[in-house]
Amino acid sequence: MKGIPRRLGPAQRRFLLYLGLSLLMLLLPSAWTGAARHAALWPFTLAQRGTVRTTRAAVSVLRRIGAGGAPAEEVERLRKRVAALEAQLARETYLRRRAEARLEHFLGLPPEERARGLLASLAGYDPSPLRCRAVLDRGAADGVRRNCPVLWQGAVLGRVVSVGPASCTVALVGDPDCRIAVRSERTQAQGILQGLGGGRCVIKYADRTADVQPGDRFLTSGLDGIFPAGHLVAVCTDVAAGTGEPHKWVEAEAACDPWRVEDATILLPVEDP
Amino acid sequence: MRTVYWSSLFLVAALLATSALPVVLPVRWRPDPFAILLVFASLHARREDLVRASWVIGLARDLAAGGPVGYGALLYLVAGAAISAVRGTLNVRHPLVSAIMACCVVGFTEAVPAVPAGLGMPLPAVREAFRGVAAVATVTALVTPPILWALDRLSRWLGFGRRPAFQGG
Repeated sequence: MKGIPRRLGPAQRRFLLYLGLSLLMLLLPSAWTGAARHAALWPFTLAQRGTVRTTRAAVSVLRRIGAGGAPAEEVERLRKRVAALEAQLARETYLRRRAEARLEHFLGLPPEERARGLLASLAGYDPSPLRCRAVLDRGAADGVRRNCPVLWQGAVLGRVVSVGPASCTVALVGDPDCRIAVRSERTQAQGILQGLGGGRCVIKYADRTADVQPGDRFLTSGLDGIFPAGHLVAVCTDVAAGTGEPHKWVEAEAACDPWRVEDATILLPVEDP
Repeated sequence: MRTVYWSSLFLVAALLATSALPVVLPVRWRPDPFAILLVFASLHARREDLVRASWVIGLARDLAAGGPVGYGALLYLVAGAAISAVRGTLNVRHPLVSAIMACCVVGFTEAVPAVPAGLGMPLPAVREAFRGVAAVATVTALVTPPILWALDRLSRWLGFGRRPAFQGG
């Protein structure tokens, strides 16, 4: 190649070439690379979805064999039902508190949330232990946009961070890029929930004097303008307050187990009249 | 035929990493198929081919996983170049050497992005992040030797034979 000293061997030249290509790709706008990735990986997304379903079926069969033929499907159904009921209970508690404070509120799911909901299937996961992301099989063609909230059984699963023609990437609650304005269900203490990777989260800017205990459930406060208020997000696992710091350090675990999710609901943006 | 074989290995590694292993294993118990594939490539590829293979592995990881496109390609390119530089002095076919190599690849490709992400985060969060990386690196190191043995047998059964580990320098 012109300009490169001839002393460089073929391996060194190839290294420099791929180094330049990598840096070029990093400099491209993420909107371009994200859209190109989703478009190029559409057939791979089909293979991913098939692999996830096949693996789940195989795991279910093995569990059944290991349990001596016990009804593992019934156990799984009941587990999902318990998770749905806990999210529903947290939301009902929030609604009852608002009604008691004499504010106008909807009982149950607001009608506009039902109208905005789009069902999507899980296609794959991000393998990195530092990120917590998933790919859904709905994209721009279905009306999905960046920052659309994603719910599962009424609890928060994450938000859309990139969109392709027929798929989208969701930053789950444990992802460092997922930040949610939350409020304690019991004491109304507020903070910003941010993921640490691997499903673990921290609630930042919680006031030092706030009453927060392990086991407290945190719901969306709606103050971030992305997530509707009143949806279960995480459960507190540990609380610490360093000396001299203005805020408490609250560790939490996501309420949704993303590895068990098969379908999710994407809340589409409200269209201007 | 060799192209089809390597393409199949890339596809299987991507499906395992993004679709099969997350369903079966918790985060810290999942080995990294891409790192294992890179170590396997170091056993069979010439120096210039190893550079290309490592870049393609990193790019495949970027496309399948959802991170910034080019970031993983850059990290795996550097890892592949480092392996290429040292494999002339090491017996890379030894199980312990291949395990350490896989551990180092995971540690490098996961820890480097964690450093800028950890700036400004409290120490417990940084500690938790690096514990996760260490767990994945350890699990990957443990499963690498038997997987490489199986892939080596598969290669010979398919008639690709066994190239000297550092043919071409």
